[in-house]
Amino acid sequence: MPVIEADLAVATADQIIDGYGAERSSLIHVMQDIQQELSYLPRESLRRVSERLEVPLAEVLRVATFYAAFSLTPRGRHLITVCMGTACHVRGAPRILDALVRELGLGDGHETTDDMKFTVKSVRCIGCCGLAPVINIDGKAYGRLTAHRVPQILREYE
Amino acid sequence: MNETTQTFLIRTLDDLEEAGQAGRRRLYPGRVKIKVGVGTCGIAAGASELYRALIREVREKGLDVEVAATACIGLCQREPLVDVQVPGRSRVLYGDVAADQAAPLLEAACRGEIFGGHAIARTDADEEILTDTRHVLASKAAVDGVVPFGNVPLFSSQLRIAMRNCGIIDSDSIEEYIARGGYLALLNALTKYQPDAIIQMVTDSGLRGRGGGGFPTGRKWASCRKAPGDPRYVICNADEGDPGAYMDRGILEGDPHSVLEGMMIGAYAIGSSEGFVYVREEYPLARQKLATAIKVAEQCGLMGDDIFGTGFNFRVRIARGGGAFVCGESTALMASVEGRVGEPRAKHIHTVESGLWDKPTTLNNVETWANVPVIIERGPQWFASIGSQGSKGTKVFSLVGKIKNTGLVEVPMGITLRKIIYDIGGGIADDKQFKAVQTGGPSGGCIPAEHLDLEVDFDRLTEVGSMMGSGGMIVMDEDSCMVDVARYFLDFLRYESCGKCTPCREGNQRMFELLDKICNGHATEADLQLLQDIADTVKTTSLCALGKSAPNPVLSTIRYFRNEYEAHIRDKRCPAGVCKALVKYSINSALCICCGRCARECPVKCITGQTGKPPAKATKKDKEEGKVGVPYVIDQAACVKCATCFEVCPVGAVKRT
Amino acid sequence: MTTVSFTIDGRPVTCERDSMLLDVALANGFDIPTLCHHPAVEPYGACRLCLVEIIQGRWSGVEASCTYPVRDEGMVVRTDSEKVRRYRRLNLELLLGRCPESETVKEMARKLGIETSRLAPVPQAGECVLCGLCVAVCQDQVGAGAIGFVGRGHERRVDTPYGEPSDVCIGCGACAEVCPTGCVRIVDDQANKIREIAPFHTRHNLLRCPECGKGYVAEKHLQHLARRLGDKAGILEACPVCRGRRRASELLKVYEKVLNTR
Repeated sequence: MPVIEADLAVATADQIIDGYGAERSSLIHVMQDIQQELSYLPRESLRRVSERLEVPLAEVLRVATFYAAFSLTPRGRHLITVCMGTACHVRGAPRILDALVRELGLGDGHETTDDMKFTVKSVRCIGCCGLAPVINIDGKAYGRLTAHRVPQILREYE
Repeated sequence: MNETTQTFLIRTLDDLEEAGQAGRRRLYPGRVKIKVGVGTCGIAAGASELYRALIREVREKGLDVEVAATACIGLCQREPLVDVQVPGRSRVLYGDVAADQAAPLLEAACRGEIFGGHAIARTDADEEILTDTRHVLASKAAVDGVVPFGNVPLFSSQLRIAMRNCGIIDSDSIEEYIARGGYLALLNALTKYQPDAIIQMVTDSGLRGRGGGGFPTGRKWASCRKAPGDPRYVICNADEGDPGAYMDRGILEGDPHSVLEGMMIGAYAIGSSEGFVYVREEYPLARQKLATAIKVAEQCGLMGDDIFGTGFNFRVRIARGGGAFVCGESTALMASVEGRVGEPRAKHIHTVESGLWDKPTTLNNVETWANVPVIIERGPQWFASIGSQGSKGTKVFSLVGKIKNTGLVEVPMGITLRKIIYDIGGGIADDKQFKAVQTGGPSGGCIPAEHLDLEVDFDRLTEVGSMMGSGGMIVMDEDSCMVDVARYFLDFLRYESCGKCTPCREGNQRMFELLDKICNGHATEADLQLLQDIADTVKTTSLCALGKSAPNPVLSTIRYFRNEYEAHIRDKRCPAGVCKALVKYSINSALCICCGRCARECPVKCITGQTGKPPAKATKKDKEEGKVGVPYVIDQAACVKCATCFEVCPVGAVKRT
Repeated sequence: MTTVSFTIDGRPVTCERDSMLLDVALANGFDIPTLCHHPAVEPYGACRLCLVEIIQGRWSGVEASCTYPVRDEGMVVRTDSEKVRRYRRLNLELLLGRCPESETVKEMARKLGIETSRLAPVPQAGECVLCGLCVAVCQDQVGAGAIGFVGRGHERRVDTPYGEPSDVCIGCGACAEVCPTGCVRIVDDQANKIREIAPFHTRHNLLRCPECGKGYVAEKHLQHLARRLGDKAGILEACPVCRGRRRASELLKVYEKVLNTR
């Protein structure tokens, strides 16, 4: 998804804040919902959150950069999460991640492909250890995975 | 997926019994009932498709069959799992059922026959641990060819207390929860006992925190009750950050009411009327199930004001994690609920005195709360009769890794590791050699074969250099490199450290760098000493439990597998063949059948050769016709050690050294 | 008020219950190294240099004294035992690894006998030891909240939102005042009357003193103070030196008048 327009970013933030109430303790919930709706946390949204919850922007960003769930940059159309939990690790998850990085041409620290098609993130344990190693694309789980199945799975996505 | 059923106000014991009867009618409907395990694991294996296929079949064929959902049944290895209940007969559990098998499964069920090839075990009677009763299912005796659960060590060694309803009830149905004794403990607690008596019962039971700390629960509640201040809070820690551990997810998806009921009893005991369940970000289905359970409980009047007409008020809210392992630590968790970063603080003043918003707070783990109703109903003596001297009751473990039967298992404390791994787990996958079992997550350690007869409880695990932790049990075999395992955990911990204190922030990073160096064959003896010095500092001087226990994976692997460290450092060799820099893949040309599969699959195209008949088997005719192949060779300089060729070679011609 | 009596390095001390051990030790003249401690700020417990050994009956442990509330009668505290030195030394070695160029850290390490760290330096860490003092004063004392921690774990750093010049910074320099390593500093360009708060890339107009012409306060800082002081704001009419001179000459006039009327 591309960069979100300022007006939409602010309006989304307002609507979500209204739902939870403009209190300090709502901060993480509000950001979670904005993230879910817009696929990342646009600047204008965070500025609005800072104003309405009366929390300095530096502090809002402290929270936004502390928790792994949040992204300050737009994400690709399809989110691939690779489980790097212990059970998955022991059953070869690093090779799956390597295969993804290789197939999608992602370099050091880059999570999103240049064409904004895929974002790859590793997570620690989605709790499907019986099917290790597991990846999840847009909510669909692929278990009992091997590295050489990766290219064909990626081809399923537009 | 399931509509929440009609609810009505539950204010008295009679109301509870009426709801229970409705629940029993749902559980045992008097016609064929097919129950699909649609927890997160099941969904990942295709259970949603199966569920939908069953519904479609039933509708299209006009069958008199009920299709229902349940969450985690526990035998995740065999998902999708389906229970088939035919009136008057034993209930049969089937595994590995694909969506396209919906029709034949239904046909067999309607004929009262076994669906061939997929049956795992049968249940002749349902045990209700809360009410100490049995609901007999089968008027006919044995079901041909299907063993009873009691004969399968995987199941017979288990004792389900915390998971008493998981896989049996529809977790969205409060009636089914009540039918199996739910909310009776709360009613009795509120009407028959004073708060101090409740605390005494929990103390006498010997219940210790199931989240990892193992702190005596009764003592925690007693301290909180004594502490001055209002309002007071109860919190359920559902952050479950240990990778490889998903017991709490199983309980929250499978039986959320058990946790809510436990929390309410605890709230009554400490004088609280407000609670939070802090669920980690990565568990959306658990959050959803919990939200439904709360809503339904509120609609029934079992949550809110004047519960059971006793004047006891209680409300609970779901707080959501943001993807931070450190938020499993109690002070960090509370900071997160307050909307701040999850940075722990020193705990010289305990959270039972000053916790959430500086008020007295009782925080317990999901599994701990789930045990509470059973302690109240069956009594502390009954609970204390299970388990070992220092650790009473049962523990849910997630048995995963290189084991045949992966899944959630609940066993009495004091059972041996050997029994868990071999009887319940079925032994090592592919019949390989056991090497170690990792317990306690990133805070724990690796336990080698010499301790297989260890009785599993809080104290014994700590004695051998590990810990119980939340219950993750990851089995490793001869193909696991223990230095790589230590590196894995430090990679996790350096990323999850909040970064506040020097030893944890700097130390975990440096320990990771040193382990990485060792795995890449660049380390020296001095590096091993430096690693141990840093480990000691981090363990002794870190601010919180994350830091203090971070060195455990390193220290326990050095303790039991020092020879592997030495092989990496002195010989630049990885005995298990895992560390990429120290491993070489090559093709044995004598075994190569020139099929070319390795070359086709190789992601960097570094394998060359020619398809055809292997030279050793080529006839004169083959040679004349130019059909002889050339054995394949890997270009070592270009090889990225991805192991694809090793995995796909049909004849095992690829060597790993 | 409950008091607690105990010993530090063999010397008996007494304090109010729940006082922080570091405060008690410093008040009694004991020398304990710190980086993240400052009297104006709530104790944070981050640097782990203020470690002391505490012995209570059969229990002994190493604790950060800045966040340790004194409650136990008769405990024995050692500020310089072998154990304390060892752990202080190792933590300094870790900090030196992060900031090998920092004179402050080097000096503290030298005092404990460390000349170099066995660890490779962290690129771009500069001299920040992540003590959190600048963040705390800006947020809690000044109330501007211009800077904050960003990221987690080893990637943690202090910065303005998005690393851009801050629009809420008032240029007061309180952050520079509390920084223990000099990483945060005020850089004044007198020629162009610009005050920069380094390393936060934030610049302010420096107002001139009407007397001596020297730039002495950031415009926004003066406005902030004016708001806080209300009608007493006139007190800020010149730089501290010239204010002093003005006060002195006013006082002289008063004395002269008094002396002349005698």
